[in-house]
Amino acid sequence: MNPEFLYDRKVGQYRNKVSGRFIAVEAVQRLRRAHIAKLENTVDDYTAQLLNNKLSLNDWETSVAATLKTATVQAYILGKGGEKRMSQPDYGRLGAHLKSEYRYLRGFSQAIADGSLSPAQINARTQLYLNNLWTVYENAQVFAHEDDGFRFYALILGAAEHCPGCIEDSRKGAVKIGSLAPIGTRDCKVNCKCRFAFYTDIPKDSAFSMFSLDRSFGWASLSNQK
Amino acid sequence: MKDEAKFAPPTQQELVAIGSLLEQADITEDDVKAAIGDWKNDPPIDGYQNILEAEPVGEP
Repeated sequence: MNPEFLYDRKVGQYRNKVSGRFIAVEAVQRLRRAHIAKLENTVDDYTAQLLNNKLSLNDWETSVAATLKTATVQAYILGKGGEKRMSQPDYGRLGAHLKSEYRYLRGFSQAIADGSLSPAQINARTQLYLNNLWTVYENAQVFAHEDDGFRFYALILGAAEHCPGCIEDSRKGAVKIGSLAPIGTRDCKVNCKCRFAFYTDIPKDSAFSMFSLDRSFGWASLSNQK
Repeated sequence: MKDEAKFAPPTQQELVAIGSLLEQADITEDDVKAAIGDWKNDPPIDGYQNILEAEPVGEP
């Protein structure tokens, strides 16, 4: 039997409804990565059909757009804490985001129609749309936590090569929500794999994150630095 | 030399009007239900079929 889930608004985490145990942040990260990987297969298949003349450009665009829409809604709901937390502003944000994505997709389709892209370039560019799902989840997390009274957040570097902007923002420690650039808008753009950690108050170890990581890039305690 | 796509480039006339594409970007409750149904039928990882239907608890 598949487990049922709760979303605990005080903590900002999913829980198993029966056991009451919290779902680890890392487990949700794995779920998000698997979500993107699964879609890669779907979209790669559409592109292979396009390149083999088994799918028209119009049908390819329609199929990619529909896949993106479903996947974007799924990533947002996961970040927001479930469908029951979805509100009209969420629908509006999702629609605006998708319109922007669809405009880029149309530019992409035009470039394909012009014959100016190689198959490798088509595949690489398609990947960017899927990578953007990471940012959709993170932005939904910001809205969810703001709704639930969290006032601070910190940027946690992901398991990836980091751009200077992410390094710089991660060193700021816990700051007021809204004072950092949204994930997906720094130098690494939609390839960003960082995430936010949220707090209702400035965490006691904020000084640690602001000072010791800046100085040593390690887990040395403050007492070792005196 | 660039490895150009080995397919006949489709014509721009094949593409539907951009306005029509953008209309499809609007989100409705039906879209949300369809997205959840899609996830439940084929979740990225087994065991998380129901996570998008999580029940919110713990008033802040």
